[in-house]
Amino acid sequence: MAAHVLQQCVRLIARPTPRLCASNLALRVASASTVAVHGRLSYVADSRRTRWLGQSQVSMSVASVLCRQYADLPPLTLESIKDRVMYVLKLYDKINPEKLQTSSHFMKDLGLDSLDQVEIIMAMEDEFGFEIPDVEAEKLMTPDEIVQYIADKQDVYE
Amino acid sequence: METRLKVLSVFKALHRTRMAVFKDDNRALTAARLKINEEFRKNKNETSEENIKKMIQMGSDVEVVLREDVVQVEHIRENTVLLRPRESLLKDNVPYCDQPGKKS
Repeated sequence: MAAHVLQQCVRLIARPTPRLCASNLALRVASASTVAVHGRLSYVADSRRTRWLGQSQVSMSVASVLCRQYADLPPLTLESIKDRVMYVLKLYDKINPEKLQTSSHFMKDLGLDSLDQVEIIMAMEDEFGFEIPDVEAEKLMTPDEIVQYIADKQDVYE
Repeated sequence: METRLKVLSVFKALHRTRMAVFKDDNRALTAARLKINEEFRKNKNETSEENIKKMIQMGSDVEVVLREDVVQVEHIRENTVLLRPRESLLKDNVPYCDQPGKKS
């Protein structure tokens, strides 16, 4: 497949029309980078076809193709999960940030009720982008438990 | 315990719908949030099973109305508003019928 892309490149260089000249560069960059990353090959091949139709901002789309390969979230660690959980909790208006500890119980220590707890869980769902079923959400009563639960679900271990 | 879970899930559904319906509209989002919380807190000491059932029904009805019948529009310039549709507003096709039938 990579050889095929390169071959097409060569063919394009052989007959440079003004319209295709610009995409030549794009192709060379794209195919050079795909030799290393075989998994992306079909994506680049696809986007190449659409780029011929679009053709307006070739250099822009090259940049986006290259950037795309690095576009991934940094891996979660227990530490980063904890920071994000605490950050979300601090933003919740009924929690006093000074009283908040990783081990404080929402109801006993922070004086919240079950409705607040549901709201907190919803904020966590939004923050981490997955849904927490009601039955399990009910048991999460301290920041520590939330961190542990999220780490379990996202396969994060020490 | 069963009822408790139901109440909390209606509460959650209402908030989720609120976030979708009033998306990007901080004022409406906050107002709706406070209202939902206020209404739930107001009745937090209710013990009658019957009443709680009615309220759960009421809550889920409100959620359906919000989701299916509330349209968000944005004021973009004088005399112009921009409709912001969402999928849940779509209705099923109702075939035309000459005789008014029973209300479905």
